[in-house]
Amino acid sequence: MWNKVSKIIDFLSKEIDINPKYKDTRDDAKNRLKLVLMHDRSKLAPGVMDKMKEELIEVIQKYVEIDKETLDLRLETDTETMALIANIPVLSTKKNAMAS
Amino acid sequence: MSGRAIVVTSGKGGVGKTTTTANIGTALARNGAKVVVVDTDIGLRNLDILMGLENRIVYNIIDVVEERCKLHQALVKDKKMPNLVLLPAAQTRDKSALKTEDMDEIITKLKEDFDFVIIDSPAGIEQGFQNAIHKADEAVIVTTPEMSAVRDADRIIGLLEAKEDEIKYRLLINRLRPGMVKTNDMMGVDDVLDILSIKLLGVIPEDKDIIISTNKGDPIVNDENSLAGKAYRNVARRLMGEDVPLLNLEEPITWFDKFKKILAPVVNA
Repeated sequence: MWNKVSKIIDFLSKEIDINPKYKDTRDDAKNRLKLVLMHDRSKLAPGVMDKMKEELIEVIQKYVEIDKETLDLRLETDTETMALIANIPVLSTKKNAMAS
Repeated sequence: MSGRAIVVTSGKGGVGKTTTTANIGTALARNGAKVVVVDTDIGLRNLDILMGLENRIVYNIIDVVEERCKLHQALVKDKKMPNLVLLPAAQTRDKSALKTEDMDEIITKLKEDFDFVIIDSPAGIEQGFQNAIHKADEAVIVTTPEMSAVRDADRIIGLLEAKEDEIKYRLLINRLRPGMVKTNDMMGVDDVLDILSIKLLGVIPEDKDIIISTNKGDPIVNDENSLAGKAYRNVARRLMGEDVPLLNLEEPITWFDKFKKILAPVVNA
């Protein structure tokens, strides 16, 4: 008997949106999923990362001499954003690249 | 003849890969195409059951690979249609029994004889999955509007993108409950497409008749009155290049919805 009554109350409260348990979860799902996928996707294929690293080195070397061995390049994600973090030790500036 | 090899895959288990394979295969055959459905889920075969052919299996795909029979001997004819056959998986072996090269050879041979080779992939992203997608020209990615299934579908898209030979892929959203979408309790088609940015092949509504059709071993596309059956028949037509609009799955607005609308400002105040 009480079981039935509580079922009816459950149904009614859902239908007229008064029970907080039944708040819209569609957007929750979508937003949580977007965030999860951003993290999942942030793992670039290793090949892509290496290629980017090589090309970056090439560009930077036009202007400064860098230590290729200790260069560190990685993608970092926190809860809302993703960033490309690069730590590039500069050995010396190139004379011909200095501002005139 | 060179047919099209289409792999049905999902990443996550239990979203309806095998049901989709059985129904797409049957629907294509109903339209007159010559179709073979291939079960690559070695050790966990189920496509035979959904097709109602479990009692007719003599040989399986591993028997072909290990040369205990010829390829055509392992093909099981459908009960209703002579232009539809099943290549069953082995039940008593494991995934390591099937190598990529063997799979490639079988699919290549089948493409010579059939218009469509529909490959049912195992769940997961391991070797069995890799075998299933390796020789496929196209992929149907099956998902449900649930977070876990969509996440896994995203992973599958990533893996298909990384594949050496280009593969065309489209999304099938399965087990959608329009009533729950309407009340904002479930992600809808637009939500899923927005997240995955992928071409849509079709939407199948949740339908209890699917369970009944499985019990009978008769794919739902053979049931003229079922909405899910119609949705699957439309998917097959789209695969054949026809431009078929999406079914209207919207449930009619009931008196209760109207009542709710009137009451909402009062309740939320």
